[in-house]
Parts: sequence; C-alpha cells; structure tokens
Amino acid sequence: MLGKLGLSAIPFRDPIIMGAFGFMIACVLALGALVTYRHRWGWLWSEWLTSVDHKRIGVMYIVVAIVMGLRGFADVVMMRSQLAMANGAGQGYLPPEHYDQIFSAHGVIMIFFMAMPFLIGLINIAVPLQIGARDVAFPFLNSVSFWLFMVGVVLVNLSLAVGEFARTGWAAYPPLSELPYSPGVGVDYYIWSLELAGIGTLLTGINFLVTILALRAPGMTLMRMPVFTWTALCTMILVIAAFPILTVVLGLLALDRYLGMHFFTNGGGGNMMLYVNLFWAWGHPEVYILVLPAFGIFSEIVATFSGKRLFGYTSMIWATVAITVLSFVVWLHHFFTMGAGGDVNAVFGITTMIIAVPTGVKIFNWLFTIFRGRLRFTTPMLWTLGFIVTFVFGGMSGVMLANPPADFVLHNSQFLIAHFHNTIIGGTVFGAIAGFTYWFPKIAGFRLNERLGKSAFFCWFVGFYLTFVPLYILGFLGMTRRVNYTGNPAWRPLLLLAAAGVAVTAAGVVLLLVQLVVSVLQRSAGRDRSGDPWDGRTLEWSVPSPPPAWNFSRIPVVTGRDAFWEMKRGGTAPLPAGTREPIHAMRNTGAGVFIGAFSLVAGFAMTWHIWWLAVVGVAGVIATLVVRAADDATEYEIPVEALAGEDTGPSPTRAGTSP
Amino acid sequence: MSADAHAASLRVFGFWVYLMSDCVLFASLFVAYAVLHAHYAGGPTPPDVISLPGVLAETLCLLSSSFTCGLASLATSGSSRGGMLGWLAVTFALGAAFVGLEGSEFARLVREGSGPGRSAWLSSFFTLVGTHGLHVCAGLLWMLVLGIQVAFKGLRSVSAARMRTLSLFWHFLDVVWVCVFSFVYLAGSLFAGGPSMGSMPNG
Repeated sequence: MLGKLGLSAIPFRDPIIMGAFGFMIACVLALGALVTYRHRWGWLWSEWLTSVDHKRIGVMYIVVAIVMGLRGFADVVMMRSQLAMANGAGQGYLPPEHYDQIFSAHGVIMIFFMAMPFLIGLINIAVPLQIGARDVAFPFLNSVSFWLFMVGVVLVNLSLAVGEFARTGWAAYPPLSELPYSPGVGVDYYIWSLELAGIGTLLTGINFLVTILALRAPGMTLMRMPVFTWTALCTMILVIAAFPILTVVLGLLALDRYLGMHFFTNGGGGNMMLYVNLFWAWGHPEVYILVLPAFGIFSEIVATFSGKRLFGYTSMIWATVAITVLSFVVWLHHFFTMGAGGDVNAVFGITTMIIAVPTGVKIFNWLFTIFRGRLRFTTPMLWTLGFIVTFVFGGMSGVMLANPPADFVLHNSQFLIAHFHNTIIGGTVFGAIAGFTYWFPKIAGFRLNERLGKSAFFCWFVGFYLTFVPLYILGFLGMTRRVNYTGNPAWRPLLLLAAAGVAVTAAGVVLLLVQLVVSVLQRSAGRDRSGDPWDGRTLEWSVPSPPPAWNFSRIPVVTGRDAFWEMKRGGTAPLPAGTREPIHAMRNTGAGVFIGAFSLVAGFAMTWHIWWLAVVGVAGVIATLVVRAADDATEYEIPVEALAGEDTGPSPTRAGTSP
Repeated sequence: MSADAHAASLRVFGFWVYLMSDCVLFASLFVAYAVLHAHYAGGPTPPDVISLPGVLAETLCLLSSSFTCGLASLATSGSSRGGMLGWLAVTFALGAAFVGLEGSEFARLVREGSGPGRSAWLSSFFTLVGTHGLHVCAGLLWMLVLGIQVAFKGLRSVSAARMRTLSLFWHFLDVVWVCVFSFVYLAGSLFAGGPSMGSMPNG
C-alpha cells in the first residue's frame, strides 16, 4: 500500500537531521501562522501563487532561491567545520554516510535550486521589460515552470527527514548510483526532483526563446537588444538543447533502478561511460547556463555605472554566441582520466582552452567600458569589480585544468573544488547578488541599503579568498575531494583557514539578510519615485517602479541601442510613440499550482514505490491540463481608461507589489 | 494581425521549439541505442526478435495516419467540422492500431524472455521504441480531447490553432518513426551478427 515507506524512514535517532527538520517545520509553521494571523491567505493565493505575471513569478523564484541558498550554505558550514575538526586524532561529528549526503545535497541544491532559479528569476523580471513586452509569450506555461521547479525543491527538502538523499555526489555516477550500491531512496529522490524541475526549466527555455524572438518592441532589432537579453537568449538556447539530455540520462538511470534494465550496470552489457558522457553533454552547457546570464548582468551594470555605452557591444554578442556553441564541444574535459586516450583528450583540451578566448574578449570589453568612465561605486558595481578580478583567477585555473596532463594530477582534488567555486561563486553568485541589488528598486519601488550592501560585499570577497586559496594549495598537496576526514596533520592550518573563510562569508550572508530587512523597514529613505534610480540605459528603467501589471501602457518604439538612454539624451519623452489600446491579459490561474501538486505526488510516490499513488499523480496532471484546455475565459481586457497616467512616475500602489 | 492570430502564431512557433527539444531527446536515445546496439550479453540478437512483417504493418498504420491527419488539417482550414472530426477519428484509429501492434510486439518479446532486462541492447531497444510509443499515446489523448472539444463547442479559432500544433506533433512522430524503422528494425535485421559485446561481466 505504501511501497517502501514506513515510520522507519524517518531518522528519529539522528539529532542533527531531526534538529534541522524541526527547524524547517518551525519556519513553515511560523510563516503559516503569520499569514493566518494577518488574514493573507486569500491574497497570497490570488495575487502570488496563482499569478501569471512574469515579475511576480520572478520574485517567487528569487525568494525560493534565497531560502534554498541558505540551506545549501548550512551544508557548507557543516562540511567545512567537519573538515576543520576531523584531522589527525579528531573525527569530527559527521559520519561518512551523513557527510556524503551533505555534499551531494549541497551540489544539487546550489546548482538547481539556488543558482538557476535565481538567474531565471532575474530573467523573468528584467527581460520582458528590457524588450518592451507586456508579458512573456506563454504566461501560463511560466507558472507551470515555476511550480515544477517547486516540486524539485520540496522533494529535496523532504529527503532530509523522510528517507535520505543520494550519497553519490551531485553527478550520481553509476555504478555507484545503481541499485546494488545505492539501494535506498536517496538516488530516487535525486532522480525525480531533477527530472521534474528539469522539465520546468525546459519549458522556461522555450517560453523565453519565443518571448525574446517574437515579442520585442518595434525597432528593437537583434543587435539593439540589451546584452542581458542577449545572454538570456543564448542561455535559453542552451537550455533547449541540453536539458532533454539530462531528462534522458536520468530517465535511463531510473529504468535501470526500477525495471532492472542494463544501461549503466556492471553486468548485462551496460556501459557506465554512456552515463558519464550524456551527463556532461548536458553538464557542460549547464555551466554556461549558469554563467552567461551573470555576464549579461555585469554588462548592464558596468555600462550604467561607468556612464558609458558598453565597449565593444558587437564583439560582446559574438563572444556570447561563440561560448554558446563551444560549450557543446568540451564535455569530455570533465573526465580526461577515464580512458578516452591521448588524442581525444588533446582535442577536448584544445576546445576547452579556446573558450578562454571569447571569455577574455568579454573581460577586456568590461575593462574598456570602465576605462575613462565616470564611475559610481554603488553596491552592484562593487560586485562587478569583485567578479572581474575573481573570475579571471577562476578562468585561469580552468585553463590549467584544461591541460590533460595537468588534469591527471589535479583531477578530483581540492584544486578542482577551488576552481569551480572560483567561477561559480565569482561569476554566478556575485552576478546574482549584483543583479538582485540592481533590479530590486524596479520591483520593490525602493533601493537596498548601500552601506550594508557594501559591507556584505567585502565580507563575501574576503571570505571567498580565505576559503578557496587554501583549497587550491591543499589540492596541490594532494587532498582529494569528497572526504570527511584527513590524516595529514600538516593540512590542519589550511583547513582551519578555509573554515575561517566560511565564517567571514557567513557574516556576508547575514549582512545581506540584515540589508534586506533594514531596507524594507527604512523603505521611505530609499524610495524611488522616478522609476530610474540608477540613471539607467535600457527600457526597464522607463516604466514606473514597480511597473504596472501590463508593463507598458504604450509599447515603446526603439531607435537605437540603449533605447532609454537615447530617449533621455534625445530629449524625447519616455515612451514616445504608439497609441493606447485596450490590453488583453491572462487571468491568474491555479492550474499551475495543481499541476505542481500532482507532480509532487507522482514524484514522491515514484521515489517510495507507491505505484497507485503515482498513477493518481499523473492522472491529476493530465486532468488539470484537460480542464485548463476547456477553459474559454483565460483572458480579460484592461480598458484604455485604466492605463491613463501610467506612463511616467510611480504607479499607484497595487496590492502585493508594495512591501 | 489580430490578437487571436498573433497568439496562434506564437503557439506554433513555441511548439516548433518544443519539437526541436524533443528532437534532442530522441537523439540522446538514439545515441544510447548506437552505443549499446551490439551489447547482447549472450542474449538474443536483432534477427532473433525482430519480425519485419509486424513492423511493416505498424509503419503503414502510422504513415497513413499522417496522411489522414493532413486531411483533418485541410478540413479544419476549410472550416468543415464534420470533415475534421471524421478524419481525426480515422487518424485516431490508425494511431491506436499502431500502439496496439507495438504493445503486442513488446508483450511477445517479454513472453519469450527477451524483455528489457535481458541485455543492454534490449534495454535500449525497448526504451527508444517505447518512448516513441508513449509520444504516440500522448498524441492519441490529445486527439481525443480536441475531438470532444470540437464536437461539443464547435470549430473555433482556438481549436484550429490546436489542430495545427497537433498535426505538427503527429508528423514529427512520423519522422522519428522513419528513423526508428530504418536504424533499429531494418539495419538490425540486415546487419546484425557483429561481435556480441557485453557477455562478459564487465563488458
């Protein structure tokens, strides 16, 4: 009846896990109590959870990404404190089976449930505004994407207390992830959370590709698009081309585990290198899915706060396109040591190094934009400068690893850990925080506190180097990754230094949260009535903060790059052209929530082998889609009168968008 | 362009993009099949299990259903509700026959002990062919829902737009089937007999 599920699935005896889960439950209950106390359930449901407005979906993505980022960071604190203690005579406090779950969950959470949703959230918020569109091409699909992503989030968090998570590392290589070696439900949680969230990401990819290609304002040719929109476009192409591979490879692993097939097994003719190749054929493009939007964010920020148009726009675009293409021909560098042979390794080593060329072009473009610019050292600009320095280091250690002979020495060591954190933190995380600070006033109507933001930046910047420079050195000294104990007492000082770095970074994390709270409390101080708090260059700054649900009362006509800057310089009023017409907009719908809920039921049931419940979940998804398809009143009309006075200045307060 | 027509053209464009992503999905499955095609693990080889006459019947069903699906599209453009429903019903019947034939082929293989767990080759065979079959089932469900909608609510612009994406989907599945037929069934029955890999424990 309940498959493998029973009371024994809950690790009552483990105080760390039960404490963490108790804390999670307490947070959820407190939140629920607060909403109940303030009678906000109806508002939460009708204004947010069922919303098809790209801005609100973007906000929800970012809220969840921040929460999951905190969970992933808690994993960091546990891992680094364990390693600081478990050296020589010390054993630390995390047994191997728990430690293995922590590093697997850390990787999965940070990539799928922190970095990607954070960037997708920013893309949701900024891209339609940047191209002068009223919404995305398929607003309902956007809601479905978000709720499928939430299914993955809930499954990963459930695994904390009900059962276990994978102990295989975030890539879940077979044969370790096959049934004989991972008989528990951990790998199944991994498979279903990523399958379902991955489908959501794929739908986002389709949605935004169509949005960017088909919904641009008149006059906005491709080579007039803001750089962030360009990087979003290339990211979506990567999503569309790469995520089906992830769907397949995880599906094949599931078939091995559930139906006794032999894709990647030791016996029966299976070939685990097929998994490794397919996984990284998705996995390397994924790296650029994570970093291209960040490149776009930095490009917007660097131009805005240097008071200049971006240096080398055309080369920036072509560099982005080149990276997009090259990202598909380097996957083998993730496993040089796994027997492809010298010739093949050489080819992939060279293609990998070639990626450094377009990336270098970008770095120089940013530097030349800064050169002789009139710089304003705001918080987003500080993150950008920190990124440029940090990312160059990360890129160079990457070029070292791209050299197969060097990779044979450094492979699977702490050097590798330091390298990819160097690029993902220095690139994606810095970019996400920079973009968050940059676009926050557009959504909230007020700026974040600059002083706290700068303090947070310096803590992060110092904390990052304090953590990862020791790891580079430890890698050279021979410390491998994924160990919960080291025997060499000579490594202790470096391990302690890395733990101290995490403490400094933790101060940065706390400061970011304090910044958010303080900024909300003192919102009148940072109020933005102009809609253009940074003297911006692109169209999102031409509408009020927060923008009306329909974004643009009149669709702007674009005459050049940096469209809003041109309008301001040319002395023309913002949004010069176009006549007002009634707007067709989509009604909010709960269908996305229901699809997510039924998918969650199906994913949970599959994880625990509760077959009847899985059938119920799938049938529920189909039924929801059929009912939705029969709904003829999905749209409503916003009359012209409602649009009056919406062109400039702050919009009237609307429920939900004011903090 | 009217708002409706604009929305319809967006849908068609979006659906094309989705089909491209589905192409990548099938490409990955073909890759898995190519890698594992000779991994028989001492089990049956393609000529042992493939029955070309049965596959020919499947192929004829699916190819002719593509033709009738085209006729249903033409009837939709001609605003002929009866024509659309009629041809959709024929398409549905042919598609259902395809699924039935494929299901009976699968059932026969499992009965003979050549199920998907027998060898890596059979795993990839069942998965590739079965994924296509699942897509066809989804298409059948779609036809059913669309047919009922049109029967009860009439042939409206939104149904016409759905008919357009449905026919794209159906023709796409036809193209995929041509590849499955050529590379799995024809090539399998013609060129089998290569060295059997995977019979050893670590093969």
